Amino acid sequence: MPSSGSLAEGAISFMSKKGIIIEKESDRKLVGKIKDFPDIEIFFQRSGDIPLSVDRGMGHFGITGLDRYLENCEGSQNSYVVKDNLKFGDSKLVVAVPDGWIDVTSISDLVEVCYEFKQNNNNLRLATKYPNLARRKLEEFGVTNVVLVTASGGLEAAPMIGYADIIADITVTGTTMKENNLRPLLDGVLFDSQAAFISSNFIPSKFKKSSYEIIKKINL
Amino acid sequence: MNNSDNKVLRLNNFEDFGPSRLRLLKHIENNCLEYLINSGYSNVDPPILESADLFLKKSLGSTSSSTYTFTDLENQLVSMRPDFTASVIRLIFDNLKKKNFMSKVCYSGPVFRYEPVTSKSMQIYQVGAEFLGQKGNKSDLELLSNSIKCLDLSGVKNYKIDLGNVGIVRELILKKGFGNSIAELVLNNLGNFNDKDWEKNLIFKAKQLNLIRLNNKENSSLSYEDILKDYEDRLSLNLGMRTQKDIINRFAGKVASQITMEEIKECIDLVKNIMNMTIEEFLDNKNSIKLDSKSCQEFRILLKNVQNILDEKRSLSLNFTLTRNLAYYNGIVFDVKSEEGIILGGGGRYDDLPSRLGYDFDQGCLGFAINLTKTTQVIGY
Repeated sequence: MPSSGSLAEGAISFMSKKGIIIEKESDRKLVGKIKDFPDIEIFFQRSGDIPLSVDRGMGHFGITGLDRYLENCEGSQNSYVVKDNLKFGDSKLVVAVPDGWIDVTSISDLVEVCYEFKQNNNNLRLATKYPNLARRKLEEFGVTNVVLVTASGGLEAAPMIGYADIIADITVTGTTMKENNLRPLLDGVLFDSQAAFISSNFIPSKFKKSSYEIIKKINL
Repeated sequence: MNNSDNKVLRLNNFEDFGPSRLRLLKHIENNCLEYLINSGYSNVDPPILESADLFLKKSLGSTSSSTYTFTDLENQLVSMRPDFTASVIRLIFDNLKKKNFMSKVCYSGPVFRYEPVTSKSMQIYQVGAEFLGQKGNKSDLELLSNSIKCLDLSGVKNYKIDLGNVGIVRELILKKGFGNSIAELVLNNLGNFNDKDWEKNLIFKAKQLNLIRLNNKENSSLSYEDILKDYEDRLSLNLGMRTQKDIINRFAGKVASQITMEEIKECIDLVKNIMNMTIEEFLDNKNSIKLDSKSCQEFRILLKNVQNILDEKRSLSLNFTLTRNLAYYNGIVFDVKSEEGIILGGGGRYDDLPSRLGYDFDQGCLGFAINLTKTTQVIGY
């Protein structure tokens, strides 16, 4: 389960609503238990690490952002999404351009700007923490000629520093983008995400009963 | 992935090659390389790991989600090659610095691609060639002949070649007065041309991309000075690699560049007409759309020459829907398929690729590769 932030609070509250009571000795403790399920241990991790932990079989269930899961594990045969709309942890992956690009208001404009860059033997560079998700979604919109620059933080500064021309980042209000002279495109929401409950495909048979009970409660 | 018994298993989608398959693969590889070397190609072997930037620049990022990219122990962003082309071109120009220009090179080895949904093998063995320094028909034919010969040497009995030309399709759309955005949209969607709802989906995407003007009124025009005055504050902000002039010119042109619903339908009819053309119709040029440009005439000569090389066991089809990776093909494109439709190889022309990779070279570039993993599977071992 997520160890901190709004996703952590939402996850505990979600589990409690489903009748799954998380027992944790202190806020700093990174392991916990579930009341009435003595064979289940909870590990608290950064939400970004949870998809791969479950996919690699280190954990058997997880709660994380759907965006994080699809970025790291879409199409994986090791894990799957049990429920993708847990009704908390809302976020949007949005494409934003420098506000001075007055000619660019939609994804269609990006298609043309890509072509303009291509003709000048340059590449349009997009900085994002979600290269796989951004690539897949941009391809669906017909934007194929973009070089993705993977960055882990401070994306809003990328065009100013010069390592990317545009960004695709998670935003709720768009305020940070605006303060850094970036403007989301009108149709620039690449992905709408919520918290998701994910499961490994390789749960040992000795845990089958407990895991069945947990999934039943989650789906209620 | 460790299973519940803690056995370490082979990674998903990677294949083991046993002795008989490996023997067959090496036999084909050696035959092809020997033929190519005897035909004047120099055999080279670039590293499997290269700077990630090389492959990103090559494909303009379009293959970045299928390329294995990671930070190495020296903190550099590196990629396992998803194909040979970019590495080989880099190698050729690195050698040029030593005053040793190789215009024709051949190679063989594994490439790595991540394809999660299709369960395709992620490590693919290839043998192939790159040909630099010639534009036009003659080099197109030489490349196609070389790839046909390699396929024959591999022992594949029956195969077919799909041959298209991205350059001709783009040229036709642009010549009819449709802009680059429309041309890019159509070309990017040609892969789904045979889908039942292709036309409907294309119009939907054109609308979604604001390429269609919803009323048929004339567009108003704006002067450069008006725009500069109206948007002075925003245009003085950081614009990155774009100039104020680029932005203003495009802004002014944007208003005038949208097309009407009638025009997009006209464009779709044009594209359908070309896509449904058989090789005979294209050669006869008796279609309602006359294809008389220099590139069409050259392409006709090429098709006739390729037909002459092939016999009935190795058929040739004209396929204008074939685009492979649009990000860099600009002329002929071809796929070689087994009787069952499995793609055994392919290639085409990508003249702009060296300059995109940062080399000052504008004299033509083309190449092909044969997928030995698929070829051995089709032949049986």
